[in-house]
Amino acid sequence: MKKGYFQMKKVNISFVINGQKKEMEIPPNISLLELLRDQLGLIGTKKACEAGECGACTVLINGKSVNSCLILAPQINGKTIQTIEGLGTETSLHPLQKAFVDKGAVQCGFCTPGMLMSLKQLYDENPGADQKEIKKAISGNLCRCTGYQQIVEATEAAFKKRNVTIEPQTRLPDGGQVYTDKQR
Amino acid sequence: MILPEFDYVSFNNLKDTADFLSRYGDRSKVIAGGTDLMVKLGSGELQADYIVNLMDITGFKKIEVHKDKISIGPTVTHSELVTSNIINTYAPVLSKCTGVIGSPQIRNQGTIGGNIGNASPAADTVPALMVLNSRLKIISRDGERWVPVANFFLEPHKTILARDELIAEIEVEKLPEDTPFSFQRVTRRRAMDIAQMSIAVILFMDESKEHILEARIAPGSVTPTPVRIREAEKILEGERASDRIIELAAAEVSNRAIDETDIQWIPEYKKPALKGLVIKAIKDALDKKG
Repeated sequence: MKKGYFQMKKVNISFVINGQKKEMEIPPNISLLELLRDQLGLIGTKKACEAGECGACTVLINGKSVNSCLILAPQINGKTIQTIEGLGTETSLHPLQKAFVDKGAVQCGFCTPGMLMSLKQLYDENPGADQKEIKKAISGNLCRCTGYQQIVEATEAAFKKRNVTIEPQTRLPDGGQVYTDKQR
Repeated sequence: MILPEFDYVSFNNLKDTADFLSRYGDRSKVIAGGTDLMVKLGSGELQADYIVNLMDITGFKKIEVHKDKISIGPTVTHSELVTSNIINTYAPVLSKCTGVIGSPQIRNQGTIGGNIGNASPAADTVPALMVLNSRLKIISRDGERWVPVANFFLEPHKTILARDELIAEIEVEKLPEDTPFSFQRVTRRRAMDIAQMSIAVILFMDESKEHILEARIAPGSVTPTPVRIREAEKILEGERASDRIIELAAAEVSNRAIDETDIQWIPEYKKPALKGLVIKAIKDALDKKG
């Protein structure tokens, strides 16, 4: 094994992070998590178990939730990454974030970015998801404060809110109609 | 996590990758999804001068259905398998096995080729591959060879793959639609756990759907390398599926599988638990015969 005198070749990568195109020269032996936190300063993505057990480091690659601690950073070349920093802003929260605040789904907050990114994939792909599917979506995310109940309730609330505003023609059969809570 | 020092190598085609491995294979490790490799690199269990990326190789992401086979590219992720119409229609047992791996995040990143190549005795895809009579296409610069998945594993975490070779394709049998199957596993918790034991079963019924023509049974996590329990399969074949026959076959699986593991210490509970699991799997498969 080459050691000491071994000069690792840096790797040139280009990728999209939270909507912005980026080109970088990085060391070959860092994880995506370290790239995000140490090189890009995106510290919303949390570092915890570094073994793919806890989900605190969850981000989206091409819309799919992954453990950023288990991804070798050079492998993201050509990919699109979304982190919690790209989900919403303080003045304009993502509906999932808003629901988390409203329903008290955040206590210490450490698991929250990972939880939200796991749920973001579900939110985008399957807005009609039921409670079972919501629980499955966060089955790779540990939370030691809330007991998960408030997180699931918040997600259900966010999904419900979203579903009333969905265009009728994409959701309902002929003659179907959407009733909002008020109309009912 | 402090990773050891290495260079990163990535090609978008199989030829260049195989050429590189033919020269530097003994100093290289290939990486696909990385869900196992990253942990091993981080713990210092594994070192290499070169980490060779397979995820960008053209053609490694296909799922194709042929006359009586399905070809699967090695870097197809577990999630892609679980949601594939081809797999769900013609080899649903594979989709079922794959759907229980790790967590959604692990399934989005981990690949079928990696699950096989890592050669964990608890690899969840392997019992399904065993009952689907799978073959692996193994490629090096000097040529290719086809190996039945049953002959691929030497011992836990050790395979016949030489350092300059790659798994280039996984071929599984295309089953008639609605072939009865089941996959059952025992874990301590539902999510994010490694199977303590699992079982994959496929049954081919006669036209009356009363008699079992052919049975295929493969346990996971109980034997050092994957096996089919032919003796148990024979007990079922040609028979009407009665409780007595099912129990006989299940006892045979349990005895044979545990005999295979002479080097491993087997907790007392495993024998009756495995038997119970097989009974559950066969009955579950029979419930699906329609």
